Amino acid sequence: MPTQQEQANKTLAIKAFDTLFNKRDFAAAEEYWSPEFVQHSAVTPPGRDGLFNLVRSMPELRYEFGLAMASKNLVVLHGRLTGNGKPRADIVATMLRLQDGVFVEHWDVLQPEATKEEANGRSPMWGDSFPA
Amino acid sequence: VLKAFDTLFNKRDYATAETFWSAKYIQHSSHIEPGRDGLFNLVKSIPATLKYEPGLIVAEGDFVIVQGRFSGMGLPVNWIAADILRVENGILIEHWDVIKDEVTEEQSKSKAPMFGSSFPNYPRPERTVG
Repeated sequence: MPTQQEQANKTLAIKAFDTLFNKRDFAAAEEYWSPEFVQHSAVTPPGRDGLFNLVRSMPELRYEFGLAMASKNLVVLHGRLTGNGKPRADIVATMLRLQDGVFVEHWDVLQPEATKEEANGRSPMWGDSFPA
Repeated sequence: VLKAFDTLFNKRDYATAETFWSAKYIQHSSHIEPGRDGLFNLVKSIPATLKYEPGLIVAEGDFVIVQGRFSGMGLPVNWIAADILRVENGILIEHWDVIKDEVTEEQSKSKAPMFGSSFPNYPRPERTVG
């Protein structure tokens, strides 16, 4: 079972992602992301500004939540990004390190969501059904 | 999970690995064929230079998620994977993953390594997956 702190970190991460990606409330989102945020993503420019500006550039962006897990000061989210300006949604595994209640470091892995025809595993990458 | 991955990907000890993977293993990866056989046959088809390095790992309840690097696959680039495993009765029963080419410093938007503390150097970096 997650500790109270781990549960709190998970809840915070979900709220933060909803605030930034879905509500697009950039002022409120600043409370969750450290100004010294270290970005390891291959596709996102450095720092908090790099992330926020990328989100600003994609007005149709939506983040759908899946599995959320926490251990010590790490939170991992399995999510689906649509409205990303690409023909396909991206499935994303997001790893966040928290310090004093804010995100200080981030790693991710993104992959375009496979259709039924493309899926070698024959089971959806995300949720219970394949994308149309 | 770490022991299972090391047994299968690095030691390539398929008999021992069978004790970690359920015969009814459900595969959600877009890359890997269904079932335990699909996974094991894929590993068998990859050159012996295959190496798996685990990175960040988080476990909670029946789920484990591990970030790792696959190299030596006979591809021009390494893969960074987030593997999500569901564990039932002490064995791996269901799997989801997200895979991406490990980018070089030149290719990286953030200019920080996707995995570990340094960037890879490839003779000919070419995209393979997302």
